[in-house]
Amino acid sequence: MLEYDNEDDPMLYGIVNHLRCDIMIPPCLSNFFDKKKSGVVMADDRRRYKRWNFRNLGALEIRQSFTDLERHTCWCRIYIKDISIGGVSFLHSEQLFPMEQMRILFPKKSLEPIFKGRDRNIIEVKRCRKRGQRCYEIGAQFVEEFRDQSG
Amino acid sequence: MSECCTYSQDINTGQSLVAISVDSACAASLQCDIYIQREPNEEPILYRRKSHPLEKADLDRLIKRGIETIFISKSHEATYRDRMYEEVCCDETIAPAERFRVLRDINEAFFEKAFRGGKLDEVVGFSEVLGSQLTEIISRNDLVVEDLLSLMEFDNGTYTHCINVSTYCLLLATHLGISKVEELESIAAGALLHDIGKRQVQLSVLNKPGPLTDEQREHVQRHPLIGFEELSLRGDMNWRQLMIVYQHHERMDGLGYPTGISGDEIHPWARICSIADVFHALTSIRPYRFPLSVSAASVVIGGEMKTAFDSEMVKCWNTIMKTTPCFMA
Repeated sequence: MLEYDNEDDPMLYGIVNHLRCDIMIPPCLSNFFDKKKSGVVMADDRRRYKRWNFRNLGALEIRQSFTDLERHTCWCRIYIKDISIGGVSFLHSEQLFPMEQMRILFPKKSLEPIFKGRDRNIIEVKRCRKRGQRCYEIGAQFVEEFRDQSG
Repeated sequence: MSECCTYSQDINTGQSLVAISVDSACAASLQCDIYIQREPNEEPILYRRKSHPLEKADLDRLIKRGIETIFISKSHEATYRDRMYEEVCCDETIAPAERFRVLRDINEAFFEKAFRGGKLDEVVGFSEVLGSQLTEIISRNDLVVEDLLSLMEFDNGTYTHCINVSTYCLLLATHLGISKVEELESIAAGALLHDIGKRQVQLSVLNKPGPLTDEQREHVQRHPLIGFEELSLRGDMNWRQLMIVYQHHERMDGLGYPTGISGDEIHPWARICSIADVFHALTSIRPYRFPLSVSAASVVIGGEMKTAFDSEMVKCWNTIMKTTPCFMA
């Protein structure tokens, strides 16, 4: 069963734990939470920032980013996979599309040495790969603010 | 032969010249300065001023001299295309397949240039116009598919690929029962733009005559995502068109990219485009392999690749091909 260590932010955990979660972890990811927090992910020269394993729970606020793609605003539970100063990857139960912007919450206390006080609450989806039934791995970039939808 | 394909320069004025076929010059009743090449590889020289328009007899003389191409200034290119469209493509007495040929050929140079070097606005606007014009011709009841296919070119150029895929999409869409003109125009324009993300991929990689490295393949496989990102925030493309761009390499069995979704998760318009795209890829000349015949390509699509595509759409595609006996021989 999936379990995780929650010393980082018990209050957030309390909230996140009550959120709806439809993710089905496929067998290939059954050891998803076994990786220790804050281990460095294998180096990749093409990435601007070093990535860290950060297996934890998080919350995602689904929002409408495209006029033609209906999204009902709601919060849901996600599984954070790894993180860097520039972005985050996580598992989610639905397909998300590039350029969609959403709010994200995850325990940040242990990430303070990486983030150094920067706000990391809004993401823009960059890629999405299906990992199994109701399981999509999302790669997203942190952005400062939501895009203006009026134009 | 293309009606309009290459650029040159007037050695006296330095203005850019564009090559058009002698045949089309006659059809478009050109009213501009005309240039010719006396010898192949020579710079074009002024042949006839605008004040002395070309007559049919002049063109016949040129053809007798073995001159098949004349040049006009680039500033007249748009007028030329408009005239050709009005005088040939809108002429109901000309067979739709022939009108398709003219429409395809007069737009080639412009599309190639806009696609590779132009602004995105230019390519999108152009695709909308060309998509409507293509729809006008391809969705007609009197179109003979066999005639149309006999005119298809199978080179590896960007324009040939985009216009062929768009044409195949229209053929398949109409046979699947999509009849609303706005929807067909939308499909045609979306299909013309399906590979827009390849603008960000180096030509040396796209045309590499051999297997790609893992890194190159990864780069090429980003093109649906890049295209979607470029177009999604513009506001002048609908979601269904964006799905053509984003999902045309997805497969029904989930083995495609960029997301690896399967079945109904793939938008029907993207499923149409994936058949058209693969069919063109199999039948065209590629740097790394010989093209398959139309019949052999249809066998591959309905056989070894059948799990990749929507089975109903494949059936429909094969029905279209079977109505063109010379290609199934």
